[in-house]
Amino acid sequence: MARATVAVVLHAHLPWVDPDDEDDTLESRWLLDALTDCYLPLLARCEALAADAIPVRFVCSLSPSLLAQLAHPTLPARYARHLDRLDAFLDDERRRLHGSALGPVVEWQRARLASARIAFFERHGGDLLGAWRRVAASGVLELWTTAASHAVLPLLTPGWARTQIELGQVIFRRHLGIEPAGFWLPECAYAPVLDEPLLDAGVRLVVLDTHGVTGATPRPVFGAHAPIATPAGLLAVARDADGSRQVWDAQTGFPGDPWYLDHHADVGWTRGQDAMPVPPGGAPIGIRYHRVTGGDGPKAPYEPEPAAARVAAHAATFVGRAAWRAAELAAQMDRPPLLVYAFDAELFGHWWAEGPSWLDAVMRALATHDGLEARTPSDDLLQHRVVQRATPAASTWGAGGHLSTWLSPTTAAGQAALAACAADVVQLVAGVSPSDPVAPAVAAAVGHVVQAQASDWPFMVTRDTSAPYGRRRLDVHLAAARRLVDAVRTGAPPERADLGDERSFPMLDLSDRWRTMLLS
Amino acid sequence: MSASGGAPDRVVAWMIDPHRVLVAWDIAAATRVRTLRRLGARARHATPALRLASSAAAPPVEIAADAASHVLDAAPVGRWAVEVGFRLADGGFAVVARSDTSGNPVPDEPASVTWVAATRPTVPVAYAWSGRSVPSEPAPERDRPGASDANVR
Repeated sequence: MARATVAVVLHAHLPWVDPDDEDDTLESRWLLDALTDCYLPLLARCEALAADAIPVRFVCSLSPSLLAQLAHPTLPARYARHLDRLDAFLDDERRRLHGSALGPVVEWQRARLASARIAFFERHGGDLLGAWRRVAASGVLELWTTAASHAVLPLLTPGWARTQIELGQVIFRRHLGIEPAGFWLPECAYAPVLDEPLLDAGVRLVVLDTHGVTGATPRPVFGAHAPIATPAGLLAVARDADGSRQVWDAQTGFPGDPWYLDHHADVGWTRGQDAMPVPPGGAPIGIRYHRVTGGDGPKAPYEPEPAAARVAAHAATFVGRAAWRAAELAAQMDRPPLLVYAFDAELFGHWWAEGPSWLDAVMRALATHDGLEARTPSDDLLQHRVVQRATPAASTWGAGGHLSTWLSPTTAAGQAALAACAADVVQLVAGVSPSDPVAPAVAAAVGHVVQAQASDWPFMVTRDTSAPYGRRRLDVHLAAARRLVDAVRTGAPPERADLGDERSFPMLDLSDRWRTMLLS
Repeated sequence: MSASGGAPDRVVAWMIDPHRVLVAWDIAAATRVRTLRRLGARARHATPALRLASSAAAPPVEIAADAASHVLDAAPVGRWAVEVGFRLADGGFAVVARSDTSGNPVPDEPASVTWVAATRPTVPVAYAWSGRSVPSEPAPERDRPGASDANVR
């Protein structure tokens, strides 16, 4: 029998943080940390797989807001300054910790930063967009995109959902110059009402959480392990819940291994102010010295070699479990099983330092496996073109499998204000033509609503991670949209800052295309 | 006009999951007063409440006078909306504001298994299914952590 498909789908996303507005804030450094920890190591692993002609393929979705930040002209200078600061800090740490058990970890951290600097400035010439394009061209990676600001699409009206979907694709094309090969539903949030806007935008296939497919009507006979087609013709595949949990679960997953670098033991909590501006009480600066260790005692210094051995063991465990599961499923199915493992890309390297190495080891093991093959969901569909028709269940990959992460008593007022503001902006759009002098102000109001719709802000509030920032960003965009609406209605000149400029995100005009979409 | 000014009174409702609806509203005090005045004597002992308006009758749920949101335990089917208003002593309900109508369409596919070619558009095809199937998996529990929580401790 043909081999089962192991489809790894990574989703890379950071909310838009405008470096022109927020230079050197904690939030503006999220991208810089993610470059060092995640995006550069993942690109390096993809390049190595391609260079070694390892016959594997997997998916990475790049969010429009991440692409816009990678394309920002000030990024190379800001990243250089960031690395310079960390280098200077580690020079001091080298002297402070010389001869101690942490001395070797400081040297390891210095080497890690040096590697990131070489990758960003020398290997990629500061052009990360070009780097993603090249790994896609190598065939190892299939690049997808997602909604413009990563909105939870089932919360939006059909017009706003269409705008988010199509604007996301436009921004992807603008920055990468290629077509997105697929579309990631933000937060895996699906409702049947999305079929039509997705299909109209050319999206053929989406990834749902397990219960989105296993809870479909009628029940899919092959469960979560074969694609299904909705009555409208959208294809859906499901995450393998148990297999994925091995990787993402903070308590029971691989990243919690005692030998792995402890993400939460960041030096910035105690000494961050020695490296860069951090808020009172400290904040992560991306430098960690200790391993997870386990237990309630003191943390032990990180040791790269035992950690690398654990990576090899965990890769073997993952592939072995997938093979066992595929064999078990094959006996219950008429086609080779499809095992989809979908994760936030930032888990790999940022939250789990050893993640990129683990992914590389998994891919190399799959390349020579008798029963498994690393392919994309689209590749799998090319080989097995007959699927069951069923209507997926409304679902997300959030807590409880539904919308409670984004819809809670703490986010209710914000979501209601957003819905009201979005309705007012649509009303304004209906009365303005593309050639109207106020069209730029109306387009800017649309842009602020798009930004306010990002899933990140209510997530931060509900989960109490950067909650004040999440609240502020929602308020800032709603206030700007409201001022623009009032200015257009009263004929007053709009505030210059609310209009943005060519570097603003998400940059859209009020052409007939967007008007038609918003008014649909 | 609403308490926050500018916009009309609004009620917004979203399904959190198959068993709960989040309702948020922004209703001016003047609108509530107008409603009570219209009720005349029936307004005596009226209490703030909301209810699910759908094909199946649902009893009103009392809410605090200063509340602006509520999580309603309800599993609406078909067309539904949420009404915010007053529960009256005579068993009636006076609507102050109503959300837009939402729909939870009931899938109309046959219970039988249909196979289609994964083309666009998908077209039914004959497929020699052996009848084998993968056992059902349980639906996620309401408090189950999600993959979106991967980084939250």
